[in-house]
Amino acid sequence: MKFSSKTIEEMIDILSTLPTIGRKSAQRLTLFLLRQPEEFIQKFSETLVKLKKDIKLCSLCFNFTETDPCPICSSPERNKELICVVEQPDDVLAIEKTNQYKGVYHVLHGAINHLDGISVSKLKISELLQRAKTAKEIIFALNPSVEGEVTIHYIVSLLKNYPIKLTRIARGLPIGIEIQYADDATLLNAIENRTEIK
Amino acid sequence: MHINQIFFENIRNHRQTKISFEPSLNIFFGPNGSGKTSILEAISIGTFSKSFVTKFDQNIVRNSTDYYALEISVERENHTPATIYVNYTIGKPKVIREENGQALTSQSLIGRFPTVILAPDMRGIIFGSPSFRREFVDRIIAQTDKVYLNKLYEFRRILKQRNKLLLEISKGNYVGFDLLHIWTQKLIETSVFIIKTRGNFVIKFAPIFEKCFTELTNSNEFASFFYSPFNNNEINAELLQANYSDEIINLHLRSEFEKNAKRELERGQTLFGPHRDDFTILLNNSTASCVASQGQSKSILVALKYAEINYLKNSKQTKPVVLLDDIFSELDLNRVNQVLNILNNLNLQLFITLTEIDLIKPILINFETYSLFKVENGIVSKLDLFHKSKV
Ligand SMILES: [Zn+2]
Repeated sequence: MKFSSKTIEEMIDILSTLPTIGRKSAQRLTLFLLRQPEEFIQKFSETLVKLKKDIKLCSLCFNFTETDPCPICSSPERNKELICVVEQPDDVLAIEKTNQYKGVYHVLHGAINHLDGISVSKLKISELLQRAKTAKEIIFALNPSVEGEVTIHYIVSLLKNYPIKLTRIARGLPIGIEIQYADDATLLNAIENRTEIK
Repeated sequence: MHINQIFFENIRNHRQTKISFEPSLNIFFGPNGSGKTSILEAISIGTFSKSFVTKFDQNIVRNSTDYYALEISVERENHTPATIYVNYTIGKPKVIREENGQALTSQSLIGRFPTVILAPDMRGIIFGSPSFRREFVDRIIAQTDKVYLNKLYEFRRILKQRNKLLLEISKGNYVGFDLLHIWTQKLIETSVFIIKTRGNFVIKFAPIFEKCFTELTNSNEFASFFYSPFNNNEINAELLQANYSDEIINLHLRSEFEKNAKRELERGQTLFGPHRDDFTILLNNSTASCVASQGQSKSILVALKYAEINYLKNSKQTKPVVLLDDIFSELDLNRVNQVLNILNNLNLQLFITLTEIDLIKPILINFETYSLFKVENGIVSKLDLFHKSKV
């Protein structure tokens, strides 16, 4: 269906460019917004503008932040010689939720993906090489995809002459999954990446 | 295993169809376009996650609707029931669930309920391009080896990425030789696994096929099945000799990639690998596609499918279900009779479609139980059986 208003159509076009939002959902959201009071729309649009204006990338780890460096990079509690490399800011949130990791992060903003036009220069790789000069260990926590694998492989090849420890997070059985219900690939990975009992 | 029941909506010309099946023979007849093949397609989607007719789910959705849904109830060998639900809406990913609501990926469904399909275009396995033979082989391995299936998906992804990078380099857009090298490494790693698995599969499959062919033809003729990953018979023989050892596959793959390096950059395409593999079918030591008569090629095709059934039966805990689409377009009465008798003796559940019910009447006398369904404009009705006295 087509709306007679050009503005409504434009709004639907914009909203449907958002991830996981199809045209139908965009229509629903547009109609929802239309029914909201003036104050809500005011607040909504101000926040939207502020989001872009106030939030920037941390100049060290490239996570989203309002202050530069970000709270994690400027915290004296954090070990700056331990860098965990992730693909997206969401991954930082996920690891932070564990409350266990005491190092800092480096957000690449993706993984090498030629099909999606993500080349090496679009990722924060050269910045990572700079930081690696003063680090003792780099932990790779990229997604277990072929793109993630190749990105790790590529960065490791660039770091091969650095006096630094390179590690990656283990891939294995998720907690709570009984062995009989684990899928074969996960089980195989868990066996291949087994660790020694000391 | 056998399928107890299927219920589906909006598949091809079926609005809503619910059928309870016989654990042995199920026959669907009706004119072309009546919707009998769609029943087999629905079974294929419920057991293998996709149709054997098309790769595109939107082609299956009934005209003027935007989704299809199906529910298939299966009884396993140990009599435990299982139900699989598949829902597809155009423009969205297909959703597969099991009875407890747990979502399944295609990879985890494939192989749970093994199926063997014989459809009219499958003579391509003998006469068509290598892709027919690869699909034939991959389908069998995928249903018995989950790791292989996962590696195959991984391989396709790496291949796509590498091809895109090669294309960019060939257009001069991007200089990424260090990266290309890494993609090549990854491609070779997964290729070694795929070639090794296909090779070891053929070692087990070929003797089964040879035996099946002899049993079907009762003649002095013999047929054989070989794996030809390289365009060089000496290398292929060497790999077989070495039981497809990783090192030897790796060695030859590496040299192929080195040989093609320059041309790959010019063409912007991966020129060698398991995506170009072939298998050779021989009849009396000559390439079957060159020497086989109509009748011989039919025997080869039936023997391949018979071997597929035996292979799955041996390597899985469960017997496969067999779908024979438009059976008389491929086989004459004698062969149909032979095939149905063999499969009936194996106690397999069978689904066959045909246009004229009269064609099969003389054979049905030998069957104790079967179900007969008439299909017209997407509507299925169960008919009374022919009794020996009536024929
Ligand atoms: Zn930071």
